[in-house]
Amino acid sequence: MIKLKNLERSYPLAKEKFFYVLRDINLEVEEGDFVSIMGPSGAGKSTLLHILGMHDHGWRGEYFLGGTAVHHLKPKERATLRNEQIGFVFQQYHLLDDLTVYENLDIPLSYRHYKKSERAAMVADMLDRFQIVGKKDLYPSQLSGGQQQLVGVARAIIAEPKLLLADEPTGNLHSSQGEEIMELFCKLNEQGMTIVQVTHSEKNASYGKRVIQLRDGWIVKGE
Amino acid sequence: MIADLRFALRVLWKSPAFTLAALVTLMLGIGANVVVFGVVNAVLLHPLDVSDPQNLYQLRLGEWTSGKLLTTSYPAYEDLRRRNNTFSEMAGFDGFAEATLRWGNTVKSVTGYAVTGNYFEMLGVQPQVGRFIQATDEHGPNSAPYVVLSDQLWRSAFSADPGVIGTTVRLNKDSFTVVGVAPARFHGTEHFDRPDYWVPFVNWNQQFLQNRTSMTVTVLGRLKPGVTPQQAAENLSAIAAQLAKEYPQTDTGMPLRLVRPGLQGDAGDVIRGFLYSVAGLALLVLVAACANLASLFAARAADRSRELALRVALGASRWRLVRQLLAEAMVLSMVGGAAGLVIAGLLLRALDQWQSPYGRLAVSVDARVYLTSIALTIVSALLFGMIPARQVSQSSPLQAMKSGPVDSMPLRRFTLRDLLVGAQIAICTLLVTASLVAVRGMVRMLHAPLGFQPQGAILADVDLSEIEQRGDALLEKQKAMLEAVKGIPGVATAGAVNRVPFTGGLRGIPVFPPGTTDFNLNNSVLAPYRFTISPGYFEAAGTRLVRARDVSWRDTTNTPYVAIVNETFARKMWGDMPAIGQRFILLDHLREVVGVVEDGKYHNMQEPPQPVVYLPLTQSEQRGLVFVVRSPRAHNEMAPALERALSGLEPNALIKVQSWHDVLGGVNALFPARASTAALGVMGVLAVMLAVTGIFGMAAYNVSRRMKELGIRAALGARTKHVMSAAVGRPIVLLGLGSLAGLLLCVLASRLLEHIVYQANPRDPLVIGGVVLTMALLGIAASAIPAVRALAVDPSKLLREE
Repeated sequence: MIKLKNLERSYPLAKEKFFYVLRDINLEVEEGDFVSIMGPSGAGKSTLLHILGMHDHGWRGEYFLGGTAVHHLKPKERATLRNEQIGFVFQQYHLLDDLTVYENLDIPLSYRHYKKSERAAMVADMLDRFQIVGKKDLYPSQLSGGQQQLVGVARAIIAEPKLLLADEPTGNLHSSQGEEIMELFCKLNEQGMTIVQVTHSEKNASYGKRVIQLRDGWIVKGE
Repeated sequence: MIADLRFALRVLWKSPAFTLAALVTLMLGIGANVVVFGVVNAVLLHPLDVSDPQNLYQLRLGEWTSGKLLTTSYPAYEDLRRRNNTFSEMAGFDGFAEATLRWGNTVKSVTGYAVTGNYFEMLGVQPQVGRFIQATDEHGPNSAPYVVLSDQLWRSAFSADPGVIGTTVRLNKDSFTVVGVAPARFHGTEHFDRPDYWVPFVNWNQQFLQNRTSMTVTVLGRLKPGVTPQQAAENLSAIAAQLAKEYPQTDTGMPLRLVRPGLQGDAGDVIRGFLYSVAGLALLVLVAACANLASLFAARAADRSRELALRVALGASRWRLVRQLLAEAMVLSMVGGAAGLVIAGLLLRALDQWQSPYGRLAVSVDARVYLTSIALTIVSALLFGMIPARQVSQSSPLQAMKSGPVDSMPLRRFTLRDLLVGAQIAICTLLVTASLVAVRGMVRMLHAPLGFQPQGAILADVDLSEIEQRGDALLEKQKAMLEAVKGIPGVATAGAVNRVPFTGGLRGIPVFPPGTTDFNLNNSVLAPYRFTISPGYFEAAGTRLVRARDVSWRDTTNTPYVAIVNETFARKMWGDMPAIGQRFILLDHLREVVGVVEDGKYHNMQEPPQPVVYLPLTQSEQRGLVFVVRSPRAHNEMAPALERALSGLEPNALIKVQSWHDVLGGVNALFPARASTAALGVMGVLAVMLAVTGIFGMAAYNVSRRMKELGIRAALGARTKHVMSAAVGRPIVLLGLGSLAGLLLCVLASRLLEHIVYQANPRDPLVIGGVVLTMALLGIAASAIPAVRALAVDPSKLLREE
């Protein structure tokens, strides 16, 4: 599903020097895998996740997603590929404050040229699947953290991506809410979705099938 | 309160960009209003510098007469003065006393007033040097050869020498003794006139003293206590009717009415309408500025909602919060207002020095202007300070602390700030439309058929009033001068006329049908303007001869009297019948129409088609002539050649050479259009600046507040168009809606625009196209930077900044 070859990410410093956030990353993730990326703060975990999510374009190396050479794609083509294949879950949920739950779920579909009727059916299906029908007209501020993240996950998968990227998905939740989300991830993984998550929690990592350890931009374990 | 002010200063100091933008906005809004009010104050509100100006009235004919000051004959003035029982005193003046002043080596072209002996006494003015002309000076024609100098003439021509009193000066060919100098602030009773001198009627227009058909006198009167203008007008109208019975051949008995003196008679209505309309538009600029600031303040208040909520939680009353916000608004407004007043003061001073075609206008920053600017400052502060204050006073501190949306009402997306920006855009569109309507009016006026071609023509104004020749000798002299002009190398064609259009002094001359024996004015069938012309004038002026022939040197006083008429004259007199060969009586002679020329504009651009008759110079003696010369040679080559040729034949004549285009530009012809274009142009530019800052402010604020949201949207798959739509969609929608509302407002305000612009038509497709283009460019300019910033959003960076 994912293949990274000699991937590097750096930021320029003074006098033509560079600060490397990621160095010589070689990684393969199979379809249906559930990978947890771990490591101390500043190890490059989130940077790697955003590169996989094609939010960050300033890297060098080779990145293949489902056989497509991402490194050869133009930004517009990467955006199309991302919209087709990837869903993203954030630690801070990042729901749009001014939109209701229903509208938050509708937003990714509206960016993917679904017809209105199709979108309505998909949103209704997702509300039902996540058992949040009763909350569809509420605003994010009217939900608990766990409920917000539930909506965040629902939003990430509503366009049926093959790859789900999650950046500390339970970082802001208390333990029972965190477990709920992780069990949801397991269920999605069982249904065939590839998941890559960044986490500090050993417990959360244990829900996955594989752990990759990053330190100072290098993969030190699980390559 | 002091703590509030101190905190306000600190808050404003900490946001220099916001404070500067707000100050500039206020400075422009308040400054524009102070300038307009300064002019309104000087022209409409400032009383004349005479004693008891509230009792002073000017007589006008019952009918509205555009631009014409003259109302009555000198004998009729005397009859009205003697017979009325409603005025304590009446005086008269003729404002068209142009002359050449000669004193020592000084030769100067001057304009002054011929006045009745009691003129100064009735106005209650005191001289600064010497004495004024008095009623007791007059003992019949030529009994009072006295002149009173204006302060300006005294200083410019006589070096402010008090010893000038008793000196003899020449005005044209007559000698006058200087008896006094008027005070510097006194310029007669017309705001736009600055006469150089005053001479008595009895020594000026003697030929008119007994002539009841020469309507040369403008009459002023002071009402008796307790008499209303209406009663006085009825009294005067009754006398006029009585005079018509006594002098049926000369007096029409037309009813009279009273107007306030100062604004060129009935032109005051136009000037008043223009100034009040411009003042209305200036107020709209200030309202737009306040809407702009209210929107900025509301945004800031929303940003500070947590701080304000915390204050409430700590025990601050809502009134205290409102007071705090109002203190900030007041501090800003005071500083902005002061800056606006300084700028306005400079502009008003420049305006005071400016020589308009109507004369110099005395404008100054007086107490009334200061008070107005203070009032505008306070009202502005309340206008833009109250809205955020109200918003804060109504908000929930708990909600503010949680920083969530205020409620979930269906209209939550349409905020007060949107309304303010929309209103501001609507006002901006209105003002931009008004500006473009004015520009179109100006263009239309520049291209309006004038009935002559000023481009490429040179005018040489020659005053022959002092030469001795009369009759045929005078004509021979004029013919020789014209031949001399034609003999100048490079002159293609030349002609002469008594006066060119748009230089004033036109009045209707009664026309009677052939066979008329009773020349009662009521028997006249038309009152055309009259021009006296030499052969070749039409060709030189570029006036198209529609039918038959030009006047000829062979048309003399020994041959049948002829005339050329314009198309309107022909149509009004004879309808569809051929005009050539038709006859009419004018100025005591039966005249035959030998030619018809195209219509034109003669007095002002707004006038309806006017009947005009052209009489040959050979049959109508004329002492002052304007030579119209057309030549491919440059003006600076032709002007000295013309002066040489003319002064060679008449060394004593005062000759003034100018291009016709300059003469036209310097007189009243295009002044209203230029003034309205300038006034509305400035308002339009101010409005555009405010709209740009308003839309930019809103878009920039939107983007900065929503960077995180834009990052989320980008992370969720939003493309460029989605990000653009989310970032600047609202300002663009508001721009569209506001512009539409502004255009509709403009159509509804057509009547207001008509006061300012000649043939104002906001529905003009070019104007609408121009407005749409301007507003689109404005939207692009204002939202470009925020849009670029929104497009540069980096979700990976933004989402990790949490």
